[in-house]
Amino acid sequence: MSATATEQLEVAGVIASGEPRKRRLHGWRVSELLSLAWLIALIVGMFALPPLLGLHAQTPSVEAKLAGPGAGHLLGADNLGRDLLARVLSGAHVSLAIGFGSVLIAAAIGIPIGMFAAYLGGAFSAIATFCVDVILAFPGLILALALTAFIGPSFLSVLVAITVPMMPVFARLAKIQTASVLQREYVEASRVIGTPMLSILRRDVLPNIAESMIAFALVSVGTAIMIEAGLSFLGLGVPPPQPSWGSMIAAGQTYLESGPQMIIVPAAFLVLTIVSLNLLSDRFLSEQGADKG
Amino acid sequence: MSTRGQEISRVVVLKLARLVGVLFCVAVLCFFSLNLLPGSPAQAILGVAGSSPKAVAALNHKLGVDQPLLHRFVTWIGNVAHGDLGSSYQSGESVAHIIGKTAPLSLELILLSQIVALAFAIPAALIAAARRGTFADHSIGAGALTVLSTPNFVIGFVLIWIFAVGAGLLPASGYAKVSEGLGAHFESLVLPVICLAAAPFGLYQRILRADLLGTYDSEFMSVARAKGVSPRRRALHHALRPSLLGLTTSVGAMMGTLIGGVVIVETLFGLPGLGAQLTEAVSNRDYVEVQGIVLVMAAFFVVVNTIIDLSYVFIDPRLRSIRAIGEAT
Amino acid sequence: MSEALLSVRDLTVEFDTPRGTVRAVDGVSFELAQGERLGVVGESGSGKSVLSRTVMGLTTMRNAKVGGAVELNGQPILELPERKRRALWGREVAMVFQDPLGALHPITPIGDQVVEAVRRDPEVGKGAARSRAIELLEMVGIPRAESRMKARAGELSGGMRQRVMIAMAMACRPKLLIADEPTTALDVTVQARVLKLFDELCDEFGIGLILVSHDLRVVGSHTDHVAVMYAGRLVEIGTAAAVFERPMMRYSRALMDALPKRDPAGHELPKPIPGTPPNLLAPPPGCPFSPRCAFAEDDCHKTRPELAPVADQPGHSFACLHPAGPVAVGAGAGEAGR
Repeated sequence: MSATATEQLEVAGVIASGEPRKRRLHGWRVSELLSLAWLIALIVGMFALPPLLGLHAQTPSVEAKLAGPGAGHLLGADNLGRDLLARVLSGAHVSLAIGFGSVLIAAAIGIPIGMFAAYLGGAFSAIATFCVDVILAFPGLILALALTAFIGPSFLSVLVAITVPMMPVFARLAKIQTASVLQREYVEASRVIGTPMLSILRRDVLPNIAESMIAFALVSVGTAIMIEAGLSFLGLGVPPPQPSWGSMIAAGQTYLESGPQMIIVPAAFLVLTIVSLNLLSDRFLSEQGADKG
Repeated sequence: MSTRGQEISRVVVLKLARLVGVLFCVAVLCFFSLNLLPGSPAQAILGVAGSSPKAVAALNHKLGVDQPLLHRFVTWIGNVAHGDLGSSYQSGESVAHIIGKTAPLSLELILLSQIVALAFAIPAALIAAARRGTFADHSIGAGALTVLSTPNFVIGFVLIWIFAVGAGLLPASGYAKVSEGLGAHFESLVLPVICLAAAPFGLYQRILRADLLGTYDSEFMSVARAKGVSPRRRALHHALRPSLLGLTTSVGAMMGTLIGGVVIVETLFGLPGLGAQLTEAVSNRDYVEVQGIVLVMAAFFVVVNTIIDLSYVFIDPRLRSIRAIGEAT
Repeated sequence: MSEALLSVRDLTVEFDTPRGTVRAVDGVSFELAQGERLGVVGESGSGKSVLSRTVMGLTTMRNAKVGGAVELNGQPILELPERKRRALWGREVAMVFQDPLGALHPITPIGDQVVEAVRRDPEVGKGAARSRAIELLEMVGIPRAESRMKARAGELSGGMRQRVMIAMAMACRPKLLIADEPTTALDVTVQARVLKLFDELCDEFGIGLILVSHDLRVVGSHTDHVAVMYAGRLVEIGTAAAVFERPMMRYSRALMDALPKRDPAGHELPKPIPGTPPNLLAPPPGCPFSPRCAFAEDDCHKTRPELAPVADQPGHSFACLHPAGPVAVGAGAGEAGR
C-alpha cells in the first residue's frame, strides 16, 4: 500500500480533529510499559522475593508491632508484628490467581457461547440471551456474597462466586461483536459459498473480536480482583490465615491512626495492580473496525 | 396511531413481557440456589453446640424447611406475589418490613451517587474531549482511571482520614435521619456518597470522553465548525447527544455495581441501609431474609435497566430500528 | 479593475506526521474574482482538499505549518487567530462538504440545522430565522419545504441532503462558496441537478465558487476557470475551455486522455495513467509527475518546472518542461504534440 494514501488519511484526520501526535516507543506508550513492568515485577516478586529475602507472612513479633517502613521490615509491620511485605506478596497470590483464573474460565466458556449465539441466531440465541439477562440481574458482589456465605468461604467458593456472573458478560459481549463481524461482506460471502461454521468463526470472527475481548478481559481481571478484595474486606473471602489484600485492609481499620501502613500497603498494591490492568487494556481498544485475518 | 407510535408501543410491550419472564426466573434462581446449598439453616442457627439431631429436626419443622422443595417454592412464590417475603429466622420480623425500613436509605445513597457522578463526569468528559491531548485532558483522565481502579473501601478510608480524622469536618460514621435535621442528615451522607460516586465518575468520564472523541471525528462536526458555530455550542448541542449511548448503558450496568458498593460503604460508615442489613443476614445464616433481600435487589436492578433500555428510544431516535432488531434475536 | 474576491499567493501547507513532514500544498497561487467559478481538479492526494480548507482558514494551526498569504476581500486570513477566522465562516465564506449523510447532524432536525446557519447573521431574530430557513430550502429546490423542516438527515435522499447543505452554506449570502467534492457521493442524474443548482446560485447572487473534484466532467462543464493540481502543486491553470481543449502539462493531458470519449468510430479507448500517486513524504526532485510521465526527459527529473504562460491564451499557464502542445501558435515543430 502506498505511503501516500495512508498519509492522506492521516492528514485529513489531522485537519478534522486537530489532535497533536502522541509519542510512542516502538508502539508502546510509557504508561503501558510501566503497567506491564509492575505486573511482571509483582508476579516475579511474589514467587521470588519471599525466599530471597527470607520473608514470612505469618511470623508475629512483639518488638515489630506496628513498625513503620525500615530496615527490618521494608514496608513496615502489622499490629501483630508480621512483616507487611511478606503478607502483601502472599495476598498477591490470592488476588492474581482469582483475578486471572476467573477471567480465563469465564472467557473460555462465555466467548464461545456468545459466538455461537450470534452465528446460529434464532432459538439458541434467544435462550442464551435470556439466561444471560437472568444471571446478570444479580449484581456481582451480591451474588458472590450470598454464595460464599452459604457455601462457606474458601478459595474455591470465591472463585466460583466471581466466575459465574462473569461468564454471561463475556457471552453477551462476544455475541454483539460477532454479530457485527458477521455482517461484513466478506464474511457473508464465505457463508454463502458454504464455508463451515467453525471455520468462519475461527478464521474470520476470532481475529477480529480478539482485541476487544482481550481489552475486556484485562479490565475484568481488575474487576475480579476488586470483588475479591471486597469480599475479604467483609470477611467472606479466602479464610485466614491466608492473607488477602482485602482482609488486610479490614484488619487495618482500627489502626488507621496508629499504624496506617497496614492499610496503605495493601491498598497501594491493589490500586497499582488494577490501574496497570486498565492501562494495558486501553492499548487493545485503539483500532476498531479494521479488518483482520 | 402513527407508525412511530406503534413501533414504540411494540418495543415497550415486548420489553415488559420479557421483564416479567426474567423476574420470574430470577426468583426461581434465588430460591433454589439458596435452598439447595449444603447445611440446613437450623444447624447454622443453633450452632454446633446446640445441634442435637432432635433439636435440629424440631427447628427444621418449625421453619418449614422439612417440606418438599417444590412445595416450599410454590408457597414462597405465592407469598412473594402478595408482597410477603417471609419472616426472618433471627428476629421473626417480616422480611418485607425489614426491607421497607432499610431500603430507602440505600436508594438515597445510590441515587445521590449517580447524580454526583454524572454531574462531575459529563463536564469533565466535555473538557477532556474538547482539549484532547492537553495537560487538562491527561490529568482528568489519570484521575478518572485512578478512582476507577480503587476499591470503594479504600477511597472510604482515604476520605475518612482526610475529612474526619484529619480535619474533623465530617462524621466518620453514624447516620442522622432526616427527622434529625436535613443538615445533619446530608452531613452524614457526604462521605459515603463521594465514596460511592468515585468509581462511576471515573467510568462515565472515560466512556463519554471516548464517545465524544468519536463524534468529534464525524463529518458533521467539521461541517458545524465550518458553519462558524462556536466551540461551546458545538460541544453541547452537536457533540453531546449522539455520544450518550455508551454512557446510558453504563449507568444501567453501574446500578448493579452500586448495589454491591452500597453493601461495603454502609458497613464501612455504619449506615443502617439494606446493604448492611444483608451483611448481617448473611452472617446470621438467615436464609429467608437473604433470599428476600437478594430478590428485591435483583428485581430493582432489572427494572431499572429495562427503563433505561426503553429510554434509548427517546435519547437517540436512530436506535429505534436497532431496538426492534434486538428484540427479534 | 475590481479587487479580487480571493487572492492566494504562494500558499504552502505542511503537516508533521510520525513518519516525517508532509507538504500537502506546495506554493500555490491564484486569484478568484467576484462571481467567478473555479474548478480545482486532481487525484486523491493532490492536495486539493487541504487547499480548499486552508483557503477558508479551517486548517488548525496547531499541527500545520502554513506559509504564503490568503486574502479574502483584501483581508488577510492566515494570520488571524481562530476566533476571528471563525467570524468569517458561514458569513463571508461557506463550505459545502462531500458526504451529505455524515455531514448533517444525525439527530437534530434539518430545519434546526439550517436555522443555526441562518442565525449566524446577527441581525436575524429567532422568528425570522425560521421563515428564512424555509425560504432557503425552497430556493435550493426542496419540495414542501415547511413540512420538511422537522425531518432528520436519515429521512432524506442523498440529493436532498446535499441541497440542505447548500441551503446552510447560502444562509448568510456568503461572497465565496467552496464546494469540496459535492457530487462524489451522489448518483449521476442527481449530480447534474446539484451542479445546475450551483450554476443558478452563482448567476443569481454573483457569488464566487471554488469547485473541487477529482471528476473532470463535473468540473469541465460548470466552471469558468480550471486549476489542475498534482502532488500539492498547481500544474496548470486557465479557462475551462483552454485547459480542456489544449492541456499543456503532461499530467493534464493524461487526465483528459483518461476520460472516456463518445467516439462514433469506437476506436479510441481511454488511456489510464500508469503508476501510483507520489509519496508526499519524500517527493522526487524535479517535476513531481516525472516518475509516471511517458514523455519525461532527463531535465524533468532534475529541475522543478515553474508556471509559464501560454502566449496566445491569456490566463492559461502550465508547469511543464516538455509540454503536450505548442507553447504558442507557430512554435517550432519539435515541441508540437506528440
